[in-house]
Amino acid sequence: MEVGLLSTVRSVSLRDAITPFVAGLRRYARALVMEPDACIAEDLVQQTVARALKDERLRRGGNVRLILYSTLTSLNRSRVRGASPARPPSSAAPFVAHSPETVSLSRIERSLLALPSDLREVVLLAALERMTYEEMADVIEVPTATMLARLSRARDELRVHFNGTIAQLSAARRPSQPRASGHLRLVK
Amino acid sequence: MNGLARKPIGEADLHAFADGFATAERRAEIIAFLESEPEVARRVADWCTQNEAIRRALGKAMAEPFPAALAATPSRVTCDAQEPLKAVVHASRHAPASDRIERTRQRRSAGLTSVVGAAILFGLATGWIGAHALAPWGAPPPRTMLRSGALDPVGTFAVRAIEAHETFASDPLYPVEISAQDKPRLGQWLAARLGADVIVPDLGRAGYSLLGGRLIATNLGPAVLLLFENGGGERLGLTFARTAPPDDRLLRYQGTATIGTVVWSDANHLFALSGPPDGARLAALARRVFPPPEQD
Repeated sequence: MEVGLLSTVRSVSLRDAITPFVAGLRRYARALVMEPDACIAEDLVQQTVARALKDERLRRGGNVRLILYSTLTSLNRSRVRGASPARPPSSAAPFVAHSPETVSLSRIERSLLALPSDLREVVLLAALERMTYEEMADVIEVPTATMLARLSRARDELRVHFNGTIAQLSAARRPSQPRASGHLRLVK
Repeated sequence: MNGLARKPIGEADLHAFADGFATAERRAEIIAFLESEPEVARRVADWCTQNEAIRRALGKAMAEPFPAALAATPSRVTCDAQEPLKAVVHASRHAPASDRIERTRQRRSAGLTSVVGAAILFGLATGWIGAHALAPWGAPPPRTMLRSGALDPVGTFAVRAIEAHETFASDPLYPVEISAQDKPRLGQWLAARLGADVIVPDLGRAGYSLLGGRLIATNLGPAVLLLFENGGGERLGLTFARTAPPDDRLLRYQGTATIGTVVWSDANHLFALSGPPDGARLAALARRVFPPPEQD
């Protein structure tokens, strides 16, 4: 009886401890997932919270925010691995019907889409979630030096996509087609 | 500040500078270093720009404080919420991404039968229909769909076609560069730029007459945009570029809330017919542009 009461109290306070971070977590999930369907990011957030509520580290007073982000990051990695086993994460589903927002997708979003998800993670944790490098290393579960190297790679790769859109476009142009003198036809 | 005694500036310093973590003193040293290293300065400036752009584009935190499904009592959360979540994860691990998208779409929108009818009329492979055609056709594209995965060339082309339609078809005065009155010149010029014959379809029986055409830039090189208008002032845009056919030469629909486009290909061209966001109607019109490809 006493034990049951105690665990309920703990769960309630855990929920209160998690609540302040959910909005940020959702923002991170959406940016990380970049799928046409917002449901996928939402599922990740829900799953993360459900897991955190049972997380032993939290019950022992671990850092709520870092555990949440770390859980979501690793859940997303499994998702990416499972979704496209044969391909790198950046070349996700080739044929999807695109949504209204696709059309107005900003240049930075298009550039982020081009990054593999392990690079996207660190860029987003730094820029969007404004984590310190120690926190980020914790979240992605690598030493700080490794994390920083990854951040450099991510930001430099993002530079290429973000700055180099025009150069890349002209470079990627297909070879010109043989010319033919044209005329007009009517097709019924 | 003694230049000789300075600790060398490392990558960590550069990131800390871009992210605003450097102490005031270190910051001054980093700035001095960057002034002497224009290449590095450009790199770090780009990082700062990235940060800004990311925060602007994605920085809006979502308002709901706690996932609704989990805002129950804690004991229920850990039991009840697990099962559906497991199901979702299970599905997303083992189903191709397209299936997953289709499933979540179907969750939202019912009544797609007419859509399937239209697609089958078009003689298209069922795999494609299952994966991509269902939701958008006939139903307005759901607003909650956020963004695509990586855009493939055909998807990008469709986006270009929609953007061009949005830009030019809305212009009441000068939607085209060369008007239909000057058909021979229109054909010769566009054909010369495209490097192939330009085919101008007749949509007269559908009530649309040719306004004229222009050249637009796409991810697949220059493309022709032909604009048509009906008696009610509604405009259709036919965009096509010369390109090798994509892997799947089937009809696809993409759209915004106001403009839709159907994309298909023949052996040498990729076509996009843009107009009102009604996939079934655009598909029917597309059949007038070219007879459907014989599939199997």
